[in-house]
Amino acid sequence: MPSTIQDLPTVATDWLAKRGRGQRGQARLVWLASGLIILLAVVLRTWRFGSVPTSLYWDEMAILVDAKSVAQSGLDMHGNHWLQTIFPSYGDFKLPVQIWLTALVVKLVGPVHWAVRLPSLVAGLATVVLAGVLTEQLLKLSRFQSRALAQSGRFLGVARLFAMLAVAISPWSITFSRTGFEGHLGQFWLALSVWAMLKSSQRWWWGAVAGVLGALATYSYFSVRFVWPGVLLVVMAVLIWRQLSDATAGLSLSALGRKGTTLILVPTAVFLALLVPMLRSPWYQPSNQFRLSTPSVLNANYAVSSNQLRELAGNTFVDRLIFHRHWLLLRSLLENVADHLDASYLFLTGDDNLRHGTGQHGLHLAVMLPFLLAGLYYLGRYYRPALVILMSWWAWSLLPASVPLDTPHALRSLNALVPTSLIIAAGLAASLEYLRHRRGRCFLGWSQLTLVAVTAAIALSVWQFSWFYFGPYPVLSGKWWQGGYNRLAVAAVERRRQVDHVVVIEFDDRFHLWLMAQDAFTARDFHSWESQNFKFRRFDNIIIDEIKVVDDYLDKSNSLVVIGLSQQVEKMLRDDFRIEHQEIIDDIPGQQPLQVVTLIKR
Amino acid sequence: MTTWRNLFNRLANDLTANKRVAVVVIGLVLLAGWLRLSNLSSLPPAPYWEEVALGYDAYSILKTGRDHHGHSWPLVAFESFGDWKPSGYFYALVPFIAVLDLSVQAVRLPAAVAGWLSVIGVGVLAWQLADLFFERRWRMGLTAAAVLAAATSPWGVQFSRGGWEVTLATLFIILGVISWLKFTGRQLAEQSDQALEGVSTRWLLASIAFLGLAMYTYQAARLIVPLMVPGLVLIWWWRSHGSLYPPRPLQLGQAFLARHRRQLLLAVVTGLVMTAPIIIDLNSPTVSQRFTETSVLHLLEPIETSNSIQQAAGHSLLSRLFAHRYLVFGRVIAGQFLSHFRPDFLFLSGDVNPRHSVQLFGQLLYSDVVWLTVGAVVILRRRSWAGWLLGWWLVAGIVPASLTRTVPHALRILPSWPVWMLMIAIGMTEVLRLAHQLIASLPALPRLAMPKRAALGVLAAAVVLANLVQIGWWWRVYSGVYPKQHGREWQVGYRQMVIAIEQLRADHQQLPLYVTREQGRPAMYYWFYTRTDPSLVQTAQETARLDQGEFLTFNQFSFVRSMDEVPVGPAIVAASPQQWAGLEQRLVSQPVTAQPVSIIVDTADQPVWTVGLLSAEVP
Repeated sequence: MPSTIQDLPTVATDWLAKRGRGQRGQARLVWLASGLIILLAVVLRTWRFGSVPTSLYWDEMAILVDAKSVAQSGLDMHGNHWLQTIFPSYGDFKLPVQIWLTALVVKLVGPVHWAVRLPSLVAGLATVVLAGVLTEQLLKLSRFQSRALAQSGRFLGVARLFAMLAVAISPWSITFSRTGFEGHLGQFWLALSVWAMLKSSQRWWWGAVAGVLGALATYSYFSVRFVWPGVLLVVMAVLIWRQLSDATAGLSLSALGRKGTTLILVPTAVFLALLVPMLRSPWYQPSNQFRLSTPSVLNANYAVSSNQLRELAGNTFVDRLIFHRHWLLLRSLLENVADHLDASYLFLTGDDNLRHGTGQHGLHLAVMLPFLLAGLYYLGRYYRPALVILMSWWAWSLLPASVPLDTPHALRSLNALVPTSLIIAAGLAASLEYLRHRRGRCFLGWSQLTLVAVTAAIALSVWQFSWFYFGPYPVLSGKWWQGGYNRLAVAAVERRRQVDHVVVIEFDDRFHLWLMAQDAFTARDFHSWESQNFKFRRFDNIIIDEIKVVDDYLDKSNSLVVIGLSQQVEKMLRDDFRIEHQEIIDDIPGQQPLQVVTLIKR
Repeated sequence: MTTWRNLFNRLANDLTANKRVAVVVIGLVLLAGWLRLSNLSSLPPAPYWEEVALGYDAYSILKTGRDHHGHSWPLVAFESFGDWKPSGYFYALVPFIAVLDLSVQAVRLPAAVAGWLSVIGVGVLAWQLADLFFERRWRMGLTAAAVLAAATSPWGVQFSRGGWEVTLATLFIILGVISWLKFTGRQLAEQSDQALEGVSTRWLLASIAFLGLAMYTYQAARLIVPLMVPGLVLIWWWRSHGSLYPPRPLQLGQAFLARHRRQLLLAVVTGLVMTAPIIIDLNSPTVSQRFTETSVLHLLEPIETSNSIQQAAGHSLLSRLFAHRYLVFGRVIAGQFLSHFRPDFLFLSGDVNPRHSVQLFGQLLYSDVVWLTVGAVVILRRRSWAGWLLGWWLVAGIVPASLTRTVPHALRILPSWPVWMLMIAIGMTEVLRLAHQLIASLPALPRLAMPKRAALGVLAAAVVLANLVQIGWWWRVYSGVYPKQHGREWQVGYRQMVIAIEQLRADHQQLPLYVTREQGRPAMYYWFYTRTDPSLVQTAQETARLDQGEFLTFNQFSFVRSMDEVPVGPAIVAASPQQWAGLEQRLVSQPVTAQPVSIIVDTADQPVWTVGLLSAEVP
């Protein structure tokens, strides 16, 4: 028993060490720790799954509708075959993988709302495990072993566990594991592809697998097509350098050249071949145009500002050089990249958009900041190949996320989840090793105290995040998740048979998705309706239109359900109609009140 | 003075032993001087209101021994616009104004000279700390790198060109740290040589004096210096015992206190005596006003956030714990602290305030991202007391700014600028050192290439050239584009407006004058440019209408918010073109017409002032 509180950490670690003595004991400990971490990850991701966040938002709803249609008929909501590389959706041109996986779930459990989030949940849990596997692969790229980290086997094991933990408790991962964002699926396939790339140095066909997984990632989220090639190049360059410097390989230069070419060419060829169907899709150009229509550094007018600056400076040759529009564009891009590297964004506040975070927590817990720095230092000192890959992966992940002007963006930069988590894990592992090394030689046992303090800080942070995420966050974020839309849709569908018409005063041009997601409508119904610009505005006896048509429908109906913003609905009430039923949804903070009212002619 | 002479003698000896490095260092110091002193009165294009206020109150002290409010020789702070500026810079201005009269050049010279001397100060610091990071033969290299970084620092140049109190305070802090390092170094020597006893005490007093002066020169220094003091004491302890945590610390601590009790007592007493006026006024507006105005602790937003979270959580016990307003404020302050490390602030666009940055460059040069990263790694690896000193100084320099609302703030964290320069210099030196090792390990270079030892010189020249190109680029922006793009931030046009008003006054001496306050503090600008007798202003204080410390009336002048306040009648008027147009509209059916006499344009050729007459129409 410990005689003082100061002895407690020593006694605890000694007890654990006794239990873990010997290889079998250590393996047991590792499995136990892994199991606990996975359990923690499962709890954080499945507790109140489907009800936190409170409802689906428009993209999730669109995926659910398409998945429902595919599950029921093999066709998307517009009647196109399910095996297509781009789904038109509601005009935003979605990629297929998330829809296919959701369709599988819908086939099993029906078109429930949480079906669209389940693939992401599974990907999130798989990412936790993958992080551990990747850590070991990456660290083993280094031959150099530090004397200070003498027990490198233990360091690898510890780093693996910390990598799993870093992802398991990361608010970034938790938030996106509980929602149906394609970007989260994309980052998982990308990380899996990196794992396959690393294995390709042993067997060439893993390169083909990496290409397939890269394509899968690209078919999940658009930006991955810019990230994957960059990461591939860096990983393969490191592997080729490793081959070159490995004296025991005894390979000739020509053999090395062949190996290097294979390492790069095989995954690239597979990746490009699998992308051809996307390039040939009739929706490819429209999807690019749609994405480029977002304000970005590519469509900002740098020529004008460049000319202005040159004129102001005197328009000499030097001025034409230093105020070149390409330099201004590059600066703008770098500023957006810098937004994603803001420590406050990474560890304190996260994304402003409450669909992408809580607004009160960073992408990683605040307590992890020093470990990110420690990880960068230790990887830079002892595991440089791993650091090169992780930093490049991080940088490439930020590039496509930095092209649009609204930065920082936690969803678009989600490909950086795994590399940042792995760097943090390295920092945690190195710090633990440092404290173990100093134990017993230190002043007042500060190393033990530090260990206890850090553990307590991490535990407290996880507790605080969980409390916030399951408590205040659902209330504060209701508006961001289109809270109330589903209630309106349920009311509309329930009452449509009792009235002549259901008129929706358009308050959101995607509201039709909530209606289509209701059980009352099937894929067959979708295919019988006409759409305008991929949006359905008239189906069954439901009309979605501007406020001015309401009077017309009041004139020609004996009974009517009117849905819309409460203040607009109130304007349309007439004396010749009595209110049979009225429901006002005004309990969502920040959201304008919505109303559904049933009117019967007097 | 003997102690400082000895310090510089030793530095000069090292320089003469490395003639090529000496030439480079001297050249860079001259460059630093040119960047900071050339065209001082016209670049930035005009003085902004704080500069004008500093200048006029210093002029008032010179002429009357009182500030323009009539306070006699203020010690802690000058009332100025009611913001109670620390007194140091005012008194530093007095000799310059005595020689150069009240002018923009005179107001800016102390900061320019302080900025220039800071470049040398950073070099001295690097020379003092070099042995802790590199072998002795790299000492002059590090010194040269530090001078290079400081001389070509956009941050340093920007804040040397203006009446910035913080630049003078930063110089005092640099000198304070240099003195402290000499003191603690001397202490070690005295332990083995009794003959040297007493020499270190002079360094101790010098250090306290400089750090104390910093507290009288800049508001944030009143927090920075007290935060630095424990770190400096820690360094003393570390240097005395060779380790931060030696064995038997309690016994050693007692011995330390006993051995140095005289000096510790002297330090405490001197420090208290120096700062007593500040401490006495701690709760009065002279010290606390500025903090109250700028502090993040007076914001409502974190309290509202705390309340909304607790409400959303049903006011549970956990919510009162996890969402306590102190925690929310803590998070805000932590975020403010971290904002000063944002890459866009440091390397791309700088401070959002155009007076603090040209907006097309960060506070540091683009290449500094590499040097800074390498420098940070070197400091972490060496684990010396010098690393602790730099880290402590950096944190102490940023914490006060983290408590204010506008972040990141290049002005308020300027006292940390020497640390950034030293880190950059350490990074440069390390890269050159590694390059030197690599070159030395290579087999003989091809015939056409230079000898190995020249390769290092070429690399060093490349580093210097890269810095020169970037600062040249920055200078092009600063001198060519910046005055035209951001002239309004410097209240361009006031001088011409005052000249135009004086010309009209010469012909219409009885007419009242109305000047709008759109550009800020017109009364002070008038006094500055006309060198109004301060005794007249002091006399007018008793009857003038004031807004906090700002005069709203002075003799026949009225300084109004808008032309709507101008009565219909003959007068001399100065206002923005928009206000003038509004006035003309108002006078449409009145027996008075508005006649513009002078249109003053800014550096972008946009009208900024219209000066004219309101005259009765001739029937």
